[in-house]
Amino acid sequence: MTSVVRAIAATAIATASLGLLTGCGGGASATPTVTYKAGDKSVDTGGGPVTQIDGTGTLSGTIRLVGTAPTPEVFVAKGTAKRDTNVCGAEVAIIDQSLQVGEGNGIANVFIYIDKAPPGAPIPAAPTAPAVFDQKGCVFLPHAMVVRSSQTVLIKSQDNAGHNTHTYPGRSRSFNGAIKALERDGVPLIYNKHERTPFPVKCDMHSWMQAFHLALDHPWGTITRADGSFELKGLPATELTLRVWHEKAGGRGGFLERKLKVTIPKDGSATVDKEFQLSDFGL
Amino acid sequence: MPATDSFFRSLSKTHTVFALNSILLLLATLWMLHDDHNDEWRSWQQKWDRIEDARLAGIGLDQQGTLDSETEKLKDRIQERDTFLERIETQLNELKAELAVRKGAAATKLRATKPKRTFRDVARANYDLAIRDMDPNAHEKLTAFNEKRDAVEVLERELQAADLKVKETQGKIAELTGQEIDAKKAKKELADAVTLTRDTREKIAPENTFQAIKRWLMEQPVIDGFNSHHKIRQDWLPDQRITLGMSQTARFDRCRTCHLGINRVLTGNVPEFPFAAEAEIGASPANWVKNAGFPHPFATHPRPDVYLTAASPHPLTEFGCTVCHDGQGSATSFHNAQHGANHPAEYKKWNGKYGFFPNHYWEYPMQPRRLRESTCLKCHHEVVELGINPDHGATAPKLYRGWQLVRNFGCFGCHEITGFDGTNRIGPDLRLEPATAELKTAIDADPNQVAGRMRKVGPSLAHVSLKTNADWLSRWIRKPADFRPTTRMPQFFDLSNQQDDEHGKPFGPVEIAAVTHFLIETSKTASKGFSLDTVPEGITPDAKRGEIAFRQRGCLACHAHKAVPDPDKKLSATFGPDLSRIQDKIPHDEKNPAAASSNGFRWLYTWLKDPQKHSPRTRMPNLFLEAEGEGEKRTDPAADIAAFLLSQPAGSLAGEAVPNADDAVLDELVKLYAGKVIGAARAEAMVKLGGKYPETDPTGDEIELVGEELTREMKLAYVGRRTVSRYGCYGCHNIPGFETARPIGTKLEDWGRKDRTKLALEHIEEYLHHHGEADGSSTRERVETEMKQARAHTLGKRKFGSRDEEEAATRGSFFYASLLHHGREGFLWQKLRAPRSYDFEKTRTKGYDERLRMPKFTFAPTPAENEEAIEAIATFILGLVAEPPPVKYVYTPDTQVADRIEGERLLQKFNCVGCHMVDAPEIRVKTTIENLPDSSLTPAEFPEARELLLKIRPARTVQLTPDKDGNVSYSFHGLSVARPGPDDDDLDPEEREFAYNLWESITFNWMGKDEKGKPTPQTRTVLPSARMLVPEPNLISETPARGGRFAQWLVTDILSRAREPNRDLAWQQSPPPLIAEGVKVQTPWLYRFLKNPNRLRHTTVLRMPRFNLDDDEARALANYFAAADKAEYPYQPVPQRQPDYLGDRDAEFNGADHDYLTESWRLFNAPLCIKCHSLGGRQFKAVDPKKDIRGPNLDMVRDRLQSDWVQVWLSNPKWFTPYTSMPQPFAKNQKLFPQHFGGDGLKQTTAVRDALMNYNRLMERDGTYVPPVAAKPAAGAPAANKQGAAKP
Repeated sequence: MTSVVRAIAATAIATASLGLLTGCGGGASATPTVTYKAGDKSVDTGGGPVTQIDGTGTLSGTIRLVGTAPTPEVFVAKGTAKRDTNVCGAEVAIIDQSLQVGEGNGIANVFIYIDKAPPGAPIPAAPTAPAVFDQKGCVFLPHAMVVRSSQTVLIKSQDNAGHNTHTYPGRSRSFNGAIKALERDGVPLIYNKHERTPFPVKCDMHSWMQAFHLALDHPWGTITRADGSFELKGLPATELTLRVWHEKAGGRGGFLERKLKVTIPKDGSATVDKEFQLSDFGL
Repeated sequence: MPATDSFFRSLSKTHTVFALNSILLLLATLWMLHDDHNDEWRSWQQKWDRIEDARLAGIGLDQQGTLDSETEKLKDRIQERDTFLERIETQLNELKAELAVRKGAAATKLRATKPKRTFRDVARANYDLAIRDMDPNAHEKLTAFNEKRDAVEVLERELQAADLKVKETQGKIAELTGQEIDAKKAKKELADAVTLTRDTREKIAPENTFQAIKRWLMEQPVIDGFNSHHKIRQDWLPDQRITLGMSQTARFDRCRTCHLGINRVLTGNVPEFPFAAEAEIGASPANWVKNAGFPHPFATHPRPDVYLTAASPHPLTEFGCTVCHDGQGSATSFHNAQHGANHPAEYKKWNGKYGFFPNHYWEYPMQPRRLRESTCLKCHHEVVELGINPDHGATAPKLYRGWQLVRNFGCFGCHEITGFDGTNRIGPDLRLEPATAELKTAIDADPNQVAGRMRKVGPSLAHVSLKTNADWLSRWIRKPADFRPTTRMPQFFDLSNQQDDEHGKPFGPVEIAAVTHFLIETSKTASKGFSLDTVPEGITPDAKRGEIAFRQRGCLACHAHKAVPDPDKKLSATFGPDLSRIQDKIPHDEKNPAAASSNGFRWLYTWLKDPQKHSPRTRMPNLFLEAEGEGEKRTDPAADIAAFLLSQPAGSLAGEAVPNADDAVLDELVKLYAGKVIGAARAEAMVKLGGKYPETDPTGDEIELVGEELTREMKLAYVGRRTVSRYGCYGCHNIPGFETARPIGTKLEDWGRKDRTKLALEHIEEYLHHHGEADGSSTRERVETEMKQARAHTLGKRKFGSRDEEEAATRGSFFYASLLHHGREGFLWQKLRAPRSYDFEKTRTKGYDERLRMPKFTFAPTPAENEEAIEAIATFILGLVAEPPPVKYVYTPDTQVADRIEGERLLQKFNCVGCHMVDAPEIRVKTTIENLPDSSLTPAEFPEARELLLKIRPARTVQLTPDKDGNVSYSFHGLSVARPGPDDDDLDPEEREFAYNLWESITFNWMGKDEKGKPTPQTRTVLPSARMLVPEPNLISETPARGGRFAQWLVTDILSRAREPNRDLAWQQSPPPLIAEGVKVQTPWLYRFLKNPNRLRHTTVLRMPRFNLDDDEARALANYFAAADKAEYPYQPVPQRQPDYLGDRDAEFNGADHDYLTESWRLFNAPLCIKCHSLGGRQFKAVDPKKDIRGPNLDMVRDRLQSDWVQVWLSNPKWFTPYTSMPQPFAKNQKLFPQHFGGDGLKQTTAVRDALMNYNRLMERDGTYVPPVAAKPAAGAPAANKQGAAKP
């Protein structure tokens, strides 16, 4: 990369992160007070000539598994928990959620996202409503989620037992706090930085409890549904590099695909259907 | 003709002669004056004036505006200080007023209390009287007394509170007064700077014509004798005496006459004239000023924080120059000062330029740069502080390394280094500890003796017959490196003076065979009654399990093994021997190496289980390798590790086999040695006729010859014992029978002053002419090549890359030249490279028993590294001069620093730093003020805890000075969390990030701007555990952690094998860093723990082993941690157990039916802590023992942890251990247990801390807590915001 381009990129990042920081009121220490209006903010390129990306498109597709997934391990059979017996697995058994295969061999909870928002793409505002991260029967709900890096996440609990929520983000400040029984107001949590990969969220009191979060400074990330399908709307109409990530995909830091190129047509849609082998999941 | 004057002399001739004489005398006088004026030093001072002139011109002498603005800036800063002072004074006045009010309030309280006290005392007296008088109404008087007492107590408490407030205000006043003093001092410094600028200008380049003429005049010959500004500058050091000839006299150091900028520093300890190696002495001063780099003699001394400045530990006025540098201090010319050239090419250059040559009559020539650190030893006897120093860093790294090498290679086993003259300290003390406990007691009882404290560096040979066999042992003795190239054991045989056919070649193998025989037989005798442990029945050792245990149980912290490759030297464990070939050394069942029945296996098993059983002074710790598990799953890690080690593929036996001793040669040796005692003829007769040894009770090794008949075994034992005595094997190994033997080598405590004429150089020059290098080539040829390069360097033709490179490339030539000039340096160098080479061509005239015996050491794998190590050792040895300066100069740290130094020594002695990190890695980055890390607390954190954290572990202050582009650079201590991967190539360099967790608090200070754009000092404190993100281009350097190589390796090892790699959890499984340990644990507890460590953590894969520590060592180590963190020790107060503290809490709590501690105990037992800890008599209940995170048992907190630390830990555990799984229990923004303390997080945190600190009292009083059975909520019932467990 030439030094000019590098300088432009550096300025862009600096400006963008500065913008984010001021927008967030100084990181996780404060609740965000600034709300973005849709389309009022785009990645600044530091004055370099950047073509504004005009228009958006949709990306959809399905992630499937080739072969038969093994039966998930039962962590705690119904009513057999050695501690918090009348809460953990009291109603349903707690099973391993790390690889959930649904209808048509679709794989659930695969993260599909772009890491860097393309230069010149208008970035819609983050939703003002907080995201909810709940727990029930000593299982996190949902198992995987994508939030915006300025968005408040409310940690709630439906269990009549104490938990703790311990996050392991790569760039943001990590959080580890006790969550009281039947916490319905929600303990606020903000990831103050854009994250490059999904990261685990655990409860240290119940070793099986694990979920995955991803915080992005743009809205273009999602997870696959139970049948392996996904849809990303409002993507900038340009060539994008997708990351396809799953918690069981060991070996390459969780990436099933790290640089999946896809072109989004303006006002149109693109499709990505991918199949992965059992070996991709270390099986 | 009468005699007239003209008869005798011609007047005109006389006049002519007289006139000529006068002219000659005048010329001679002028010549003398000129010559005197033309002293070398004067030319340096003239040049110095030109530097000063150029420098002043640089800051604006010819640009008046710039200079004015500089002055203005200074004045502005003075103004700033004034404003600050005014503010402080206002605050002080306010506080003083407040103090008066508070004092008044306290006095009022006191006045109110006093009469009440009297009433109480009267009531007590009345009651006492009633008792005496047997008054039936006595109980009423008691009631009356109780009431009065209670009333007084209430008042007393109020009085105390009032007093406390007074103290608080006084504290604030004291703090502000301190700030005021600092501000005034800073102001004065600034004012001085203004004056200095003015004065300097006036002096060097006066604007005033009269001044200029005066100055010029004062520089002229003759006139300059009258207090000219060019003059000899002299430091008189009456206490620093120097021995000249036979007498001692005070030192005069005139070095500053030429080294004019040597002590010139700017504020902030910045050298005013920084040295630059590339600055040429011939260049123009303006050039130096422009490049801000100066040559000697003008450069400022490096490290002004350590040397010469008044605030440094070595102020110029007290220390002078020559006490550290040596050389002739009274000299005023380059030559007379006896500078020390760093290599012959440098010498040649000086010789050409200044006519320099070494003066053999000056006993203390200056140390050349490469050996300069040696003189530090005069005052720094413990050495440690020169290598590890939190204030100054490593100030003498080479000397420190040399000291370590001498310790590690056990030089002191043969060459005693006595640091005491009686009980007076004269230098470093490296002596073996007394061999037996009785000897130690005797020395300790003697007021005139100090016991040595070094342990022998080699293993004990008392039970060597159990460990190995004669074949292996003899091969090992012959050439240890054949078996283990990295061994520290030196080579005694097959060396250059043992190559002659007559004696060397035949005698050597016989000596080896004899030593082997002697050691094995002695060991057999000593091992009678020594029982080897047996693997418990029902346990089958397993090599696979053993490999895991070997990797995880900490063996790799000290030992290397080829089964665990370490190509990047991440482990680099050289503390203990490399174990890769241990299977070839220990005889075992080769078909079934894991068979636990073989003696070799049992020996290894016994050693692993309890090393002290075999060797009471070993430094190998007891690793608590206890059998674990039940029934069929029962395993024994010691047996597994033994099986793993012995199952490694067997290699061929190293080196040549040593043949059985030849009888004739054996006889020769017996005759040779015994002949020295009983005479050759009697020895000859004894051997030839097989007769008895003529004495029955010899004192020496001849005891082996006493018997009915002289057998071959006896001869072998005799020659073996003689050889052990001759080579001093017992200096490193414990050998039964040699407990009181004295070291065999020259004592080294004053070797640095050894008379050069006593160095036996013999034919060494001839030897080095033809041989000398490791590959057999000529050292002289090597030196010639080196010299050519060095010459090219000094002539500027081909420069070395750095001073280090120059030093390495000229090492051989320096020492070689020294050797040719009978220098101690050169002698030592060759002695350590090839000790026997001094016997070159001498074997023909020397008897076999007269030959040199020093073995050949290999300090490092390559010849170049080896010589580098030798130079370090030479630096240490040459510094041993046994000339202690007056006591006030000897480094005598205060107790805290002394404890830290002693602790550092022990950290190395026992390799604590192999496992534990004691300083986190230091990461240097560049960034901008805008991108500094964030400092704010989260809504969940307590400001009070932040204050307490910064009180017990103060933040490190970093002054940021932005450059013209606004960039700043700073460093922080932290552990890596993530680094860019190879797949990150689609990211821009700025996006490729290194992420760290901060492990300290940092306060950044910088000059920013306020809203009006006026410069204002800014500050920001960043707390530990902050995530530091460093884009790739911003990372300047990463300095590895001090200590903890194994822990870091284990983390990566665990991560590489984990199904779900998690760095935080891997750290929890590894030995913990001991950062801020001193503010964490109670010192008395640490002492007990070090003596006998119990299991603390349940997450780690290994346990803290038990080291073979003396009481003194354990005490010193326990003190070390507190001293290093500047904490209070040895006793840390626990105010939370005091009645007045608890009384106050009770009053605050004001419970209806129970007290504060009961409430705290209930909260402590609430369903939170118990999820991960055993506490209150209840056991932690595991759900999945393999995956569960189990915290330490909490019954130990009371004795183990300091109360302030616990408070901060409970407020935010990540501040101390960023990787911990411990959650913040009572966040500020949540009401976790509203029924306790109204859900106030801070009160709850404090309450749990207090419950922990009163744990025993509460357990005794309230007993095991029984949780109430929670009512199961009815199905469909609304989820109320209520805690599960009801109040007990």
